[in-house]
Amino acid sequence: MKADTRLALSEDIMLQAIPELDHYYAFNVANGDHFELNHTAYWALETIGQGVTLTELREQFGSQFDIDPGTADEDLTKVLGFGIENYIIKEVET
Amino acid sequence: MLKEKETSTDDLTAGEEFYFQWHITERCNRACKHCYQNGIPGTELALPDLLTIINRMEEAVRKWGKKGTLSMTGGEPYLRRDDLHALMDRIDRSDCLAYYDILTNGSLISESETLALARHSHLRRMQVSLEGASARTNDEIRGPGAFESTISAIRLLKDAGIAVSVMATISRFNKDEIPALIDLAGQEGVTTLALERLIPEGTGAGLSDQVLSPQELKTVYEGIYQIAVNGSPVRILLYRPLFALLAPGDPTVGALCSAGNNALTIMPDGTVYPCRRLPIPIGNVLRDGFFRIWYGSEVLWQLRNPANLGGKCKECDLITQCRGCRAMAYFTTGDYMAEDPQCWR
Repeated sequence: MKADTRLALSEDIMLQAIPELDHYYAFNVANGDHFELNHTAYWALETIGQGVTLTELREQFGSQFDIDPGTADEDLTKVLGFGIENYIIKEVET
Repeated sequence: MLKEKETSTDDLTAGEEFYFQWHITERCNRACKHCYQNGIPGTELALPDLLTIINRMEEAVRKWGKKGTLSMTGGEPYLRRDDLHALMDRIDRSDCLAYYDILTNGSLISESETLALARHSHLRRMQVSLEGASARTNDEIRGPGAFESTISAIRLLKDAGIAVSVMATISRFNKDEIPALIDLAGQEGVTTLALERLIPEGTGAGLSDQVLSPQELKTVYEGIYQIAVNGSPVRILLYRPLFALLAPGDPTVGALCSAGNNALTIMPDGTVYPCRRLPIPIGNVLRDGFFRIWYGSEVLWQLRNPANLGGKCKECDLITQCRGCRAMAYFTTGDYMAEDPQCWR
């Protein structure tokens, strides 16, 4: 994925959270797929839902969570891989 | 007399079950004073649309790994008898809708009808309603002749080997007759007895002065619980909010409200509510489908989060067993997350 790749949530994906219970979810409201997320993944998907490039997502991720750049990159790669594999996120033509 | 059917209609646990309360019509041949409906019939879906809804129920429960259960009711569902049987035939063939109950006033149950009912494999129980152990009490609420008609329906159904459940709505008007009603249900061979609280909504809003005070409800519930655990002649369903206050350690007593957790109500035009007693539209199953409603409704997400509860419900140490009745909160205070006004704690 290129640095200037713009990301978006797939159609029919809806995010929901109950922060008080530490419950975070992504749902596909068309086919009923449902995914339990951790807070980090939820934050990343919520940010992607606002329409960001990969570079912007990396920058915001680094400032949001107090972790070293290597770990941040690793975490983000996992979230993006999970999101693409499960059709939660998609690349947008720029 | 036939033996009661032993089919795949055993009760499921809350974790296994997703429950649909399905009102296929608002029309009714009675005009009960405490009804949660307002007596104004609206749009009814035709049979093909009703069958589409069953397909969507199946799609949803398969995805969620649950077994679907239904209550089909009205209004009076027997005012759409042919459609009702067509729906029953369809559900009888389902591999993921485990069973259904029919909630009826019983007035249109004949001997020939009980024979037609007995052939349905997924019919678990027929539910009728009684408000007391005497015609005087019952018919004051449900209209002249209702008591005799209901008792006749119970006997016909029992004779056909069909399990019968009785539901009663507790108010000041009938609270003292509940023990006698339990005895009557036992004498008639009723399988289960459900005791619901009067919610001042719909036509029943006219009986708001009959809603029990917290102390009155406590006294009634204590009496019911004592009968239930001391050889009741009928199985009394105690998994209702506030019963948990009586015996917090007893797993058969009390339950979280199912609204937002494992149940939905579908109205005759496909409108979906969290619960029939909490008539806040959260979508239409034909337009939106169950997934969009279940995952997207802000009302359901409000209900799911105990941090949103108000008053003493929010701080209650029984919050994992009882969050009160949201409908009672709604129709008493206007806020469905407010504390249950009938809680005696």
